[in-house]
Amino acid sequence: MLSKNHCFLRCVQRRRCASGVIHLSRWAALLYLAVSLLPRGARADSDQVWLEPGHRALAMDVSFTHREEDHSTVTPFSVLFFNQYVVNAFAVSLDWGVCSLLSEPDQGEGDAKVRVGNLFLAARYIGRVASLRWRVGLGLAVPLAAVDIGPDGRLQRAAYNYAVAMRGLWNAWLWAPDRISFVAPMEATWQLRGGWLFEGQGAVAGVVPIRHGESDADLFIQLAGAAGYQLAPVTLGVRLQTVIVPTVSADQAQVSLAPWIRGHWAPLFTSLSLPINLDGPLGGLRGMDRWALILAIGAEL
Amino acid sequence: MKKWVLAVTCIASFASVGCDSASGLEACDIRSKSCQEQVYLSLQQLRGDGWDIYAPMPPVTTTTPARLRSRMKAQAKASADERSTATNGVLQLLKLIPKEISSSEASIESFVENTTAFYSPNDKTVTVVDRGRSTNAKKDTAVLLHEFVHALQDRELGLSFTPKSSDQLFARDALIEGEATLFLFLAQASMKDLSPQRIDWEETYRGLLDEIRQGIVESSAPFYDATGLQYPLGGAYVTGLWLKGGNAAIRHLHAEHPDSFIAYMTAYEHKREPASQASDCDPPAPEGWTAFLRDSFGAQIVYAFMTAAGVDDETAWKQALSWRADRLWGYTDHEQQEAALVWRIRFESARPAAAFIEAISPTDQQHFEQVASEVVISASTSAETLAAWQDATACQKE
Repeated sequence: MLSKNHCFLRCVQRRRCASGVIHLSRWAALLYLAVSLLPRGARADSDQVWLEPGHRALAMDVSFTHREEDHSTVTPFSVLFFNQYVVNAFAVSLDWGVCSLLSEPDQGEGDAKVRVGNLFLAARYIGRVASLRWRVGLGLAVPLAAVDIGPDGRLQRAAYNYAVAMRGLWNAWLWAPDRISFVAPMEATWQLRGGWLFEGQGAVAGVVPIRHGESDADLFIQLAGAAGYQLAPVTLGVRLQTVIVPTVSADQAQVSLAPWIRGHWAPLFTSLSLPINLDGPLGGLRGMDRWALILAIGAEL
Repeated sequence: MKKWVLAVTCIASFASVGCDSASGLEACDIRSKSCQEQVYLSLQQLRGDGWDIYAPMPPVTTTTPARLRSRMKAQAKASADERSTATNGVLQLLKLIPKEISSSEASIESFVENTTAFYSPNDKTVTVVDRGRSTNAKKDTAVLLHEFVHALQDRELGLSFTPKSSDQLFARDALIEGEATLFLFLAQASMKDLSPQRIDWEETYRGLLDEIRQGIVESSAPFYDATGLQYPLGGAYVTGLWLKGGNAAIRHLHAEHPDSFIAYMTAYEHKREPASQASDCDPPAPEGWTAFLRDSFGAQIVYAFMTAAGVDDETAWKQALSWRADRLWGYTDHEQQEAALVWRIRFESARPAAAFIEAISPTDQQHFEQVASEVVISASTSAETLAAWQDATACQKE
């Protein structure tokens, strides 16, 4: 993981030298390195990895989409790191991401912006009933994501908008600029004989602005169900999710569908999913961000 | 209170053919919340920045022209001071506002007459002016979208701005209004299921510019009506960028921008922006008077001044394009009853300076003098002061 971190930072620094427009502040880079050195556990692509006590794992996912517009293109990209450590019946996790936006005109120079996401710390209690495992907990998203008021503000906001859109608003608090979030996450997984797998995830979050002039606090309610079939070492499945934001005035729910494929070659695991936003404002015929590709890789340690 | 006004009295018709867009904005009754929400979401789609869930739609209220007028008058009364009286004197001396009314009244009348809707950064609200006539849903929908652009600009940039001069303010407003005007036309195209590529943009902005210029020529308060030039000229400028680089070119629009309105005028005329030639003169005040105003009006007010002086529109426009710099000083006496001014306008050469003097007959309160490529206008409400003010054209280095 450490080598990957360095690789990532080198990559970012190279881009900065090349374009002069990518900004990753020094403190953010140092914090990122510190986080990467913490004890970590497994979590990949919305909590699908379940660890035994004493185990830990790390993972990262990379999201990408591309949008053609009149005379220009937009290419959002984000990287999300997951860390989880299980002690007795508790899972402690730490998630943190970086998002970027490439905005390229047909003629002239483009822009690139890299922004850090919020640091999400959570603790979950793990329970088990027969082949059903469940977790419930509390989390806090520390407000590291921020946007400027000024000429760069629009690009920065767009980077966050797309980062959250690529996941169909799922875990939106990871990318909420200038906001602190209090989250109650819950997950369950049910592994049946014969290879069938059912999963459910949900969370309730209060997202509170910390900067004067921002909109009021928002409430996020997210629910997802997934079904898969295991053909070891590969599992194929599909996930349906909805994120409801009752505090916004327009279009309070976003529904998304994501076919996925996972592979598990201990200690490594990987997954590829294609979230498709089904309805407005992100999806449908007039959607602003209809699809994304998310590749996750990780390892149990 | 600074307002962001849409003074587009008539949306210029598109000189275009074909129907091949499918981005989906529909004309609707902008008084209904569902319509407002549809327009707001469509704007976010048109701007291509994704859906900002943390940017709620700004409140939209409706008012009548009479209520708007009385509200603005009350605000103007509350903020009136001795300085604004002296400023009125300066603008009246240049015939940029009528003598009978103050500059704030002229501004209010111009605003109330020409405004369909506006966004106020002070209360973060969009106000629709209901004129009681049958509504043009397509036009109204596009106007509402235009005002929502200002709400997003305010959120992203902060629209509160302390300019160094009126010219800088007009230039900045041209960029703000230009972006909003571009999206107004894109919204109209969307409602017509028309691809933006099929719009004759030059014809669109020419039509709008001609109409606004006609309004300035006929105006009794050209100083305020000249601000309407920001819409077609700012719009043409921003659209030029958009046609080369789409939303990607617009996203960093405000990082680097012209500081003088002449840049928008020359860009529209496909001419190169002239290099800045700021004047460094500081004329002496009339004896016993004090300076209260130091400003630069820019080329658009030179144009407005010439039309107010009776010069025909085309000549005034060409003359304004040869503007290179200007500096205006306002003075007032101890009782602050009388006003005087010096306005030094630098043109690209002595020839347009001479043409300027030839084209305008000064009033009995004004005195014109050519100094190389500059025209020095001195004026005073006091004939005695003007007669005694021999060194008004003197150029003392600052």
